Amino acid sequence: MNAEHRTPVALIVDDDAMMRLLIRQTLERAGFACHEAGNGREALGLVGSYSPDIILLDVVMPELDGYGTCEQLRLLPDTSHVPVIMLTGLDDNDSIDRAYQAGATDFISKPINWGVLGYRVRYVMRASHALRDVAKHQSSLETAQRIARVGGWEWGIQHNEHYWSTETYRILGLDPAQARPNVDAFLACVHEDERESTREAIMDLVKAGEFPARIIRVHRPDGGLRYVQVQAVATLDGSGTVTRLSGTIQDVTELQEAEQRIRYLAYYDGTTGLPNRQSFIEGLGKALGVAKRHHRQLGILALDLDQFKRVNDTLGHGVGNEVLIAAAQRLVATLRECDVIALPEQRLEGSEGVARLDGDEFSVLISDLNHYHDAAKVAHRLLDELRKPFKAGGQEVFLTASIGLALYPLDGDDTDSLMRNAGAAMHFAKEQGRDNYQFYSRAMNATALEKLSMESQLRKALERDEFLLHYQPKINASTRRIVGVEALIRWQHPELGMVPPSQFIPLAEETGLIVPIGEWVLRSACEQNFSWQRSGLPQMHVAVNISSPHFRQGLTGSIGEALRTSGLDPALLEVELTESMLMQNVETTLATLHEIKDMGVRLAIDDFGTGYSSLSYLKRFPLDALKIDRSFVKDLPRDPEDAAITKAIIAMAHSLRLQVVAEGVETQEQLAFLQQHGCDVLQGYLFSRPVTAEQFCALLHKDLALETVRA
Amino acid sequence: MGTGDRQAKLDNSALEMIRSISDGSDDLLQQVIALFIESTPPLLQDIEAGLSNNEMDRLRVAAHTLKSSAANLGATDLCEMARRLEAAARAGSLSAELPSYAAVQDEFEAACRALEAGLNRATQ
Repeated sequence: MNAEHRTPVALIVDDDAMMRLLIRQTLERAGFACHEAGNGREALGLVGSYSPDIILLDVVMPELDGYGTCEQLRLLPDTSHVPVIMLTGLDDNDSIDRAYQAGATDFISKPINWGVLGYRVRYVMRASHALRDVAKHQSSLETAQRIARVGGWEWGIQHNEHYWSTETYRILGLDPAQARPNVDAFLACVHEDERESTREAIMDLVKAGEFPARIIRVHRPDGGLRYVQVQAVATLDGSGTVTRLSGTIQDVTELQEAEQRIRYLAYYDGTTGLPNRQSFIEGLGKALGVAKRHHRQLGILALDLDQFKRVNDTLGHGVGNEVLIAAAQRLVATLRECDVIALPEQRLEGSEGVARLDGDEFSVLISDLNHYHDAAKVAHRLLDELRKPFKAGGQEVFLTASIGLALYPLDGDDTDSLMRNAGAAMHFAKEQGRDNYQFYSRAMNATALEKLSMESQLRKALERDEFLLHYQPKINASTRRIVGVEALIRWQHPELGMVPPSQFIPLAEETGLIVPIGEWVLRSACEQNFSWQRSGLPQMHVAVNISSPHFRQGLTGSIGEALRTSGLDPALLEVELTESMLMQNVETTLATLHEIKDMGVRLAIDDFGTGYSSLSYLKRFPLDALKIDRSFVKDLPRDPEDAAITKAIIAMAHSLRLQVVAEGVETQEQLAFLQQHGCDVLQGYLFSRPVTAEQFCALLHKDLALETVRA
Repeated sequence: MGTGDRQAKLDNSALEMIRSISDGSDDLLQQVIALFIESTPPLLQDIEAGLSNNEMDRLRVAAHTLKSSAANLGATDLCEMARRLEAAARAGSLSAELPSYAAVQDEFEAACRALEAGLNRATQ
């Protein structure tokens, strides 16, 4: 290809035979093969057959002179890039100008210095070849870029100069004649979702000179979305400042699409579109990593459709597949409703955590499980949903499933053991007669069932009016007369009997049932007190314990409602709040407390001393009373620490002008100690345990009689 | 025409240059001189016709060629005559101070005698 590897060919065009002879002689000595033409026309006829590497052309010739010949040579494909040296008169500047205008590469003036002619000609030819090679490299580079879909770009930071190769424009779908190459023009092409992160990456690149190759989506003006891979290298100056960036941009759309397709084939089940076993195992692995770091629980459900083979056998595989697809969709929809999959990054891609492992075998991952009974709830819901008939092949198909549950960390801490144990639990569920779920840890089955049934019964308890209130009197420490009463909730279960609050209040708080239950307590206590007042009993306040969820969710409204419907004087209602409740969000708390106070209702702080209390906040809260926690009262007066704390609380409360109430008073010694140190009100078994409304009424009458006697 | 035996003054460096192209031999020089003697008379005819008929292009082309071949052989006077004729023809105005055809013819013959004499001397 390179002309320098063979004998270069010169074409000598001159009408003067002597000149031709001398030039020929000179060039042959310089290693050229020479051909001669006596005039321009002859030369134009010869170039095709001789393919000269250089042409020496006399200017003054009859017929077609040197200028005309040169212009025509430039128009021929064979000679358009062949260097042409024109032989001009030394005294003739005009002819030199005209020679260049006609397309001459160089000129040699006459008389010719024969000693250097060979060198001149060779030099002109080499320079011309070098230029042609550069052009050829440039064009072959562009061709290579076009074939590889790689564009090149450069950015001179200091002067903000940009260069984009033709292919760069093509990849971005921009017209080089219209678009200005710069960062903003590039970012304008980038997909909105990635524009900011790309801008930041570019800024990092300018600052730090580092730019990991990244794949970016770009919009082309024709509406097409392409994936481009951008790579960059930075040139630094002596001080480490980035002065120049150069890089490539490559259209990798096909590659990306192929990867996605391969990924889909490798990770998804073709029938249902759910992730497959491989995908589930990888997703579970990732979720386990997250759960281990954040000390969270995971639930793995192995779900197998019961006797699915029968569907295939009786209705055919076509209908079987239809049912599988419908079942998969139902699983996905149910899990979405269950809202058990917490974080999107823990979710199996596009699946709500459900995968098809094989045939009629599915698996569900519940990441970020709060309680194991949440997993039971999910299993319960899935079984319920699958029991509903499927329509396939023009008829109704009935399905049930068996589910096994394994929990991380309880039942295993790697994917293998968790999946194996969930599978074992699923087989146990089959043995139990199908259409049920089983935990891998047997103990959980009983408690989960208990909890589930407890929850549904708790829901029904309100409707069935199974709650009732018991009342415990509050006694004036000095007069020993009843000055108030605390209302305490009880659940009269038709089968279990009286369920203590410790067994159902936590469940009520978990399920949110605590708020309607709290409303019921408020209303019932107010109604009861109003009814006592109506029957002529002495005025006293009824105290109601408020739960934390209720305090944060419309407590003021509930109190107003209870007072309105009952007709009770607000001054005869006291609400008891715990320290921890009040300290959660002090500003909101303060606002709520003032709203309640403004209604005329008494405020008491319950279980005082067990939580974290800030005296400065206590001072700001509009409280009426403070109840010392029973744990301090229990060992009075023998435990010196409790005695000191109790004395301190009483003194402090009095300095804040708060009434002090002691709970859990059971002995005469406790009574004596509390009386001695100025406690105002007492409550406890020493006086009365919590009793029914009727019993309390009787107590009041006795108390009244006592007063009459004393009087 | 002319004096018949006058030899023109030659620039020997031009001749040496031609000898150097052919490694010091006179072969090339002989060929060049033969070409000069053979190809110049038609040019002289063109010059004569150009001058007498005011054919400027004909005169210019012939004078130009004569100018360069005379220069190649160091015939400086002949070269100078041809240069003046070429310039006048390009300018399109022939004046009385221009060398006449007869003078050019005479100078050509003097140059030929000098070249032949030089060649004979060199080959002896």
